[in-house]
Amino acid sequence: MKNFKQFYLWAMNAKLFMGIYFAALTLLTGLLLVCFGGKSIELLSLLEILGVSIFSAMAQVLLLPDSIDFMRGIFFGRSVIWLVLVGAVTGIAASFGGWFTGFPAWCAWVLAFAMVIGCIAMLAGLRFEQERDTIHLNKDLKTYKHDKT
Amino acid sequence: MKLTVEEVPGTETELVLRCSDSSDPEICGLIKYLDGFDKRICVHQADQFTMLSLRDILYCEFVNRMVFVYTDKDVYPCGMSLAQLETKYTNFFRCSKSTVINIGQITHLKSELHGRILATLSNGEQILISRHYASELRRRLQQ
Repeated sequence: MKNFKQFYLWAMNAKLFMGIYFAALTLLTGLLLVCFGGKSIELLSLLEILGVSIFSAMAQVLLLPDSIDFMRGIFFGRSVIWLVLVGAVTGIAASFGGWFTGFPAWCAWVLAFAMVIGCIAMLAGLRFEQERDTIHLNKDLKTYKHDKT
Repeated sequence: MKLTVEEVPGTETELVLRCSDSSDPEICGLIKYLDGFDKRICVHQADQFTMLSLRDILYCEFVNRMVFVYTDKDVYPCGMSLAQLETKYTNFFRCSKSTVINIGQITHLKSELHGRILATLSNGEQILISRHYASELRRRLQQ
């Protein structure tokens, strides 16, 4: 039962990221299509986008799980692997899945690049959040030590 | 020095030092001793009991059914449980199931991924506080 609960929580965590990536990929694909005069995304392409989103989320929770203590180098290395995987899978799926049929072939790789940039921005956001939190923590620690020790 | 003990049932224990000069070294020493009286922990060391000042303790850890008190130089077995330590001394904070840390000895805190906190102690040792205990530490520091 404990293992099932752990797996359930893990899947819930992955599902949250999957939703975010699905929304981002759909929006980016739609924007690219609109730029070149397209008006719709095919249902099959949407299902493939969902598949890519599931893969990206699973790769994230497997490579960067919250239960493991990362040293700075290991986290950086795993992040790079995750970004390369996300970019490659998005580009390949968009190219071979026909997401941009009738449009320039490089659109698939522009989408992959935009997705990787989005993921880098997310990781950078986490870093900035950590730095801000560190400043607050030390400020609170200083006040506590001054008042109570 | 005259010593008077007055027993009044039902009242809170109070110590009053009546002297002509509070800056007298003897009085100062006595005040210092009394001030730190409740801020000491009894530990064992080579078949002897030693009173350790709270200021010297970095953290306490439960290992092999025994609590050990860590200072900058030594490690002492202690008769108290971690629960007793964190309840009795407000500076002590439970940072994992088996560790109680002295907040007064933390020199730097660093926010880590997924809500965890890396605490650096005055001797340079680092302790990672999990998300569960980190949120409690944040609350404690903001009180």
